[in-house]
Amino acid sequence: MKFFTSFILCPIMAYAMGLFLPWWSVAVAGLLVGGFIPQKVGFTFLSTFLGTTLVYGILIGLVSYNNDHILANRISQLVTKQPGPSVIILISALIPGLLAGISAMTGRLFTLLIRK
Amino acid sequence: MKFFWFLVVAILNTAMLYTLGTRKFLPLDLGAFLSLQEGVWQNAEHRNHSYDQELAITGLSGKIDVYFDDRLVPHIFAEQEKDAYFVQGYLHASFRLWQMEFQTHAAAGRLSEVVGSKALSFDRNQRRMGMVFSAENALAEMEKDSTTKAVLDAYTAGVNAYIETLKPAQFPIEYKLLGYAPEKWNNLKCALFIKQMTNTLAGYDRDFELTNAYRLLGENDFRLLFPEIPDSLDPIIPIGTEYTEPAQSLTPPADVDSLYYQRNTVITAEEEFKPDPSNGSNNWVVAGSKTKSGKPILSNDPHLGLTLPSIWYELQINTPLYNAYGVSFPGLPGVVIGFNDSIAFGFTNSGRDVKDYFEIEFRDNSKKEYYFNGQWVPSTIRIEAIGVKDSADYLDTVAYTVFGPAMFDHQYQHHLTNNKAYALRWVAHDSSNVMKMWILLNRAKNYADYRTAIGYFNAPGQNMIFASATGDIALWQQGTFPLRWKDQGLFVMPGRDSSYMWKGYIPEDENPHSVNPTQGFLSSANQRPADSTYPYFIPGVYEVYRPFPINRRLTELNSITIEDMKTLQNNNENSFAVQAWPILDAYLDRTMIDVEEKKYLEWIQDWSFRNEANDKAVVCFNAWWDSLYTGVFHDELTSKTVPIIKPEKFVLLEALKRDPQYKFVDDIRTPDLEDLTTQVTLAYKKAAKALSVLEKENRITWSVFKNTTIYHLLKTNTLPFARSGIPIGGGHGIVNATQHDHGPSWKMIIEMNSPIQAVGVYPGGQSGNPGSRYYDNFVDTWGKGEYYSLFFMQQQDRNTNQWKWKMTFNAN
Repeated sequence: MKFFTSFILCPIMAYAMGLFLPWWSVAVAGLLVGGFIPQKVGFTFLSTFLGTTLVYGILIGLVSYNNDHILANRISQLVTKQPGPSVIILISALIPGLLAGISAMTGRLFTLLIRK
Repeated sequence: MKFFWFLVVAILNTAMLYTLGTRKFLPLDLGAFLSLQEGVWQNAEHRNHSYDQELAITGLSGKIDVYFDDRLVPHIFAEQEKDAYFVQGYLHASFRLWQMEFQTHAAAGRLSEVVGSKALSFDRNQRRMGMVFSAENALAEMEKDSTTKAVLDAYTAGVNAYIETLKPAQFPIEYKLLGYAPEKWNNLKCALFIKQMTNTLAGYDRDFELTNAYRLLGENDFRLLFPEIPDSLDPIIPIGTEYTEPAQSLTPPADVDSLYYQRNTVITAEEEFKPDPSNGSNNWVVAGSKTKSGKPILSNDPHLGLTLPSIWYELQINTPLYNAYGVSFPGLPGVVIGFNDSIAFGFTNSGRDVKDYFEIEFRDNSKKEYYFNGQWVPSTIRIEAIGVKDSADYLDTVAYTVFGPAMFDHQYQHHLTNNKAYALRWVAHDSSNVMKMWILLNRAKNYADYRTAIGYFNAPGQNMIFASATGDIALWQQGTFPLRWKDQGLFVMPGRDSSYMWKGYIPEDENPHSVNPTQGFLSSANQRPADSTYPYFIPGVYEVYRPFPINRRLTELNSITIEDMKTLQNNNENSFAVQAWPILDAYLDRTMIDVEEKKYLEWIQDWSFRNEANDKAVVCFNAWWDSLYTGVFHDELTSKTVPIIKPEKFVLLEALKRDPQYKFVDDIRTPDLEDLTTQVTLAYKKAAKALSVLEKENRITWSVFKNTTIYHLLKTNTLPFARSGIPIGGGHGIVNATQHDHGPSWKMIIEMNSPIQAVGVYPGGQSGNPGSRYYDNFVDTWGKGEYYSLFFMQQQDRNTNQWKWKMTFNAN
């Protein structure tokens, strides 16, 4: 249950804060979710990483699909030199995912540290 | 241990945040750049995006409705003219903000602010050329005129109204890519845009190179290589037109031989950023006597560097005063090329030389004084502070003289010694109310209105073509052109006194022009405007071959329709090749050609002399002629160590037609005397070798070889934003002037019928956003040589379903 809560809460918080904070809001969401939802450190990482990557991946994939991947194709060739939209969508989802996961770990480890 | 792990993860976390937020390790700050909520994904426009919008804006005097058609062309309906320009500014900014700012930054020599020190030499060139100085002069003049000022103010307010609503997440992609933010627009930027176009079209100059060529070659050879008038000239103004006696004739200064022609030093200064001399255009107009409908048809296709976002933005402006349609420049109010209910107008470049250099001497390195009319006189020092990204400002000192800015001095080109410098005299520096021309053209009703409007235009000199619904056709080569004694300004002039300065301008009424000629049509294709009977010395860089098919077809055709004009704009006939082939054919020694080399010759023999996209003979012919050209001129013209320029392409062809024993044919580096047969045959063999390589690489087909590409404005840095490999024929000197990245940037044909029939297309799309389907949706139509019918919307169409989206601006 805690796994699932982190899984879903982290991307929701990240997105909500992203409405008025810059891109690093996802790190803040990770810190808070990791810090306040006690799990084994490994699960903290996995839940927030997977949840954020998945939710962002779906959202970005949807934006790109509705754009007929016009932008994704161009940006993909520009940034990764690869044709096709999938790689750039994956990278765009993995960045907030990893950032959320590692920030959540930081939050979790910090909680463990001060509880000692 | 817990602390250790916390530390490790916290450091990793910080490192990741830092890496994603900077460009120090990765080329982009990927955290922001790929962010869903603020990065490029925000620019991914939904395929069914609606442009419907209702806005309340302070500063407007009434309600404005903008109807977008299915090509995203806005049709602005405003009760007040001022409001229409406000909305035009708002729309330009909405769809083209980055480009209009980038282009005016480039004009002002401010690119280093955006891309860093790699643009510094470009920026210095712009500043030293006096681009900002000239824009300031123009703006001061334009703002003296209350009409022009009101138009510019409204436009600027519109651009800024949009910028104010913009959040960083909505910035155009290029801002995110380069990492900066848009600044406020102002009227000076409009002036800068005009000056950028002026430089594009009237900035090409070869004074330095010709000075050196004259000194190294001597009088006779120079005239052979750089003739004033081509033998085969087909001028804009029909031959036989009578010119009035010049109001003023000039004599050269007494010391012209010793100080001007016989100068004893070469020039080492070199212009680093010359505009493309192919910047040109076609336009023509046929009178009702030659058309099926009995009404004039006007055509225009301006040839410019092909870019995305396009230099053009299509729109219609409807106010109680007028109803105008056409293309505009993002960065300027008004319709620049187009038509209204009563008239149509278009432009081609004049190619006239309006830019001269004067050699001056400073008293010392400080550049504070220079020698003029027998004494040291003070210069005006202008310090140019060039902002450089991630670095301190670069300060450049430019001294202004009585001629203009001393563009080239020891601080810019270090080989200039003895306090020598070259000051630039350029018509673009003179103040003028250029903008007023378009304001008046948009509302012009007849020939007299057109004539008044174009009087406001000084530079870049243009061939302004005109047709009216009442049946008049006209063409004026309009601009401010200096009065010159023969050869004045061909070479660098002495600037020690006032004797070589420009003494005035050709009176405007004596500019080459023709109104309702008996031949029933008028055309221009950047050729010399008039034949040798025109009583003024008018140097320039002129096209020779492109006019031939145009004038021939316009003479032949009768009962002309829009379809005929489309065919003519897409004409791929190679007039140069038609004229050059008999020489190649006659002087090729076929016994020297082996079996493998023979193939290319056979292709050329079977060729239709048309630069069709899928043709192979074009590439073969070009390779052969270029090889001959090099063989003839390389020996005489490349052993030199100073800037020099090669003769134009027509020079060799005309010389060989006149005299196969042309003196440059011999290769002076060999003891033998090469004749034309040797050179033509050798050229063929060399070309065949290169062609066999091209053939192996599958690049011998014309459209593949040419690889027509519409680059994004950031060129090869943003290749995925470009469109390349467009299968299209044409080329340099062809009516369909499509080269690799240069060509017809807007093609339009207008029939002055009632209602007006108009077609047009440009290689781009209305949106500047590479994430929009409207970014490049016209490109394929353009590539196929097809056109869109232009929806010239009328009041009664507002209640129909002929438009797709509606944007309403309410006064707040």
